[in-house]
Amino acid sequence: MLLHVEDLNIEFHDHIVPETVVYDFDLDMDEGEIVGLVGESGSGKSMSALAIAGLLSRHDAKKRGSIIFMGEDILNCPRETLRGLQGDEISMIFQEPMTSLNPVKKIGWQVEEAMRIHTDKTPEERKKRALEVLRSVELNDPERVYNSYPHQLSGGMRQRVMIAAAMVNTPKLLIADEPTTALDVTVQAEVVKLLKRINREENTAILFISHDLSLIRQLCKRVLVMKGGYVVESGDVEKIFVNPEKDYTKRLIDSIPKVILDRD
Amino acid sequence: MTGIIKKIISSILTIAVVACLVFMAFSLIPGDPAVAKLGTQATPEKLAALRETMGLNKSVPARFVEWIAGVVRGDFGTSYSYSMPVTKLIADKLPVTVILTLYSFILMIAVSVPLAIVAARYENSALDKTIQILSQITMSVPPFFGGIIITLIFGLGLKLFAPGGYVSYSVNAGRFLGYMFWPALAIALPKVAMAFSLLYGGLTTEKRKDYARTAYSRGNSTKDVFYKHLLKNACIPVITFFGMALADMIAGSIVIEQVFSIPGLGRILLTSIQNRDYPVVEAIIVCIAVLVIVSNLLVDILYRVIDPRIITED
Repeated sequence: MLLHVEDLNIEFHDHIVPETVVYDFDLDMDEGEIVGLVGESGSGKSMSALAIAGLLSRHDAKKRGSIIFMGEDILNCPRETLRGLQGDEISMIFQEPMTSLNPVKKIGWQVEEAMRIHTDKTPEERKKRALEVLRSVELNDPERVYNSYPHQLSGGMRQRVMIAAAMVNTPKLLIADEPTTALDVTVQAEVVKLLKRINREENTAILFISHDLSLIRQLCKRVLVMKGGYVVESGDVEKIFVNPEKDYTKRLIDSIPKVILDRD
Repeated sequence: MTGIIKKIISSILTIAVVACLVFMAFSLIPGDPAVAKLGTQATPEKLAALRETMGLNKSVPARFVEWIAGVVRGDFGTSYSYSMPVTKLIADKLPVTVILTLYSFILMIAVSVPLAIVAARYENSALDKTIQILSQITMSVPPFFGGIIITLIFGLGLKLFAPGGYVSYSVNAGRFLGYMFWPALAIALPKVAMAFSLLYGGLTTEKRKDYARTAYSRGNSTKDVFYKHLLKNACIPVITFFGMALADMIAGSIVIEQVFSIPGLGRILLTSIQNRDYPVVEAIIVCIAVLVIVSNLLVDILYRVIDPRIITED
């Protein structure tokens, strides 16, 4: 088992009355598995993902339960241990490719960062690997992208760069928090295809978060449906699509726009 | 690149305009250098003879052309009161003022950057609050007063330096820098407070941005996130202030030289104004203008180096 999350509760204490955003979240993931996490905004899916990635370190956020990743207790291990995993075994990509890259640093520097932190590679080896990973995320002319700044690239290209930077150390788990929401529909499909290929070739497990069930259906076998901080339904994507147990899931499925083609 | 060349050309033009204005101003203000030198009891013949040797009997445009021709060659004429070439007179004083200014500038950066990072990192903690209060206090202390307080506490009280014990850089560079630390500190302190506030504001804004989260997700320590990612972004709006501070420090050093008895440009400027020693005053003002304009130019170049989004072909 790669990841085991049990009874995860997340509470925020930034107001007078504490506010719970995630209740009793459970999740098991095996190596190389793709799991979808679907729900509306505010359903707690991003918070759960941030907690798993060890990025929910705001001191007003209280986390209970356990997150065990590769035998390490993410919630209670020393920060050193956590940092050793971040960018090496767990990577994360975010919703906004326009703002997720540092605007004043070259792409090459940012893609190489996780290697500088976690490996002893020489600058030449790092550059070679960076170009290789930029090529593998289907960016034309990786040499030019390597020497560019983020503002010189389109949104789709930046998200590919984010994926490249996340995959540079071939992590065991990639958390993708709505990676396609800010992109055009055609680019969305390409990014989903790319994630699928990465999963197949590198055997990286992917936790794919989206509010779009149709994307989840293209990519994942298993899905968790969240609403109001609770996981309301989980299981095989196709089963849930065909036979949703909960009314909420049914409404989510109905909200997918359908192209009606029958003309008789 | 063309943007920088344009800037350099406009800087040279600005210096030329400043030189013209300085000359005009001193030919308009009342006061006679010959009288200032010989005293009010001098005979009209003697005064006329002195004006003749000073070249004051020529018309203003003629003197201006002569002066500008000299300035272009690096010759600012002869001092009325010291009877020696102005360039020679200020040659060993200019470095003192330049070093004092740069010293203050480096101190400002060296103190404000780590302070802002610590305070922004532990935002809203007791440490942050303490630094904020100290910063508010130092911000409101003008350099000349700060200089007096520093002399009183560190010079007379703790005996860390001898007030008035200036050592020339040509005699002993180490002791020179040791003494200059204190006036530099007096100039830097209020600027440290302002730079701190601006950097703190920048850092606390930047640390909430998405790219900071990305940096954490790659395994960066908090310190590395601040120094390698946030600092450069937080600096961009502060660079303008750095430029203004540098220009301000040049002016500030002239005042502080008096407090610490440093024989820089400041002292000679004041005595020359009293003596109506126009060639010296004009030369010093042109020097200061050049320093200010060059520092602005550097800031502009720095902007382009730090922020790749500034289009250089403007």
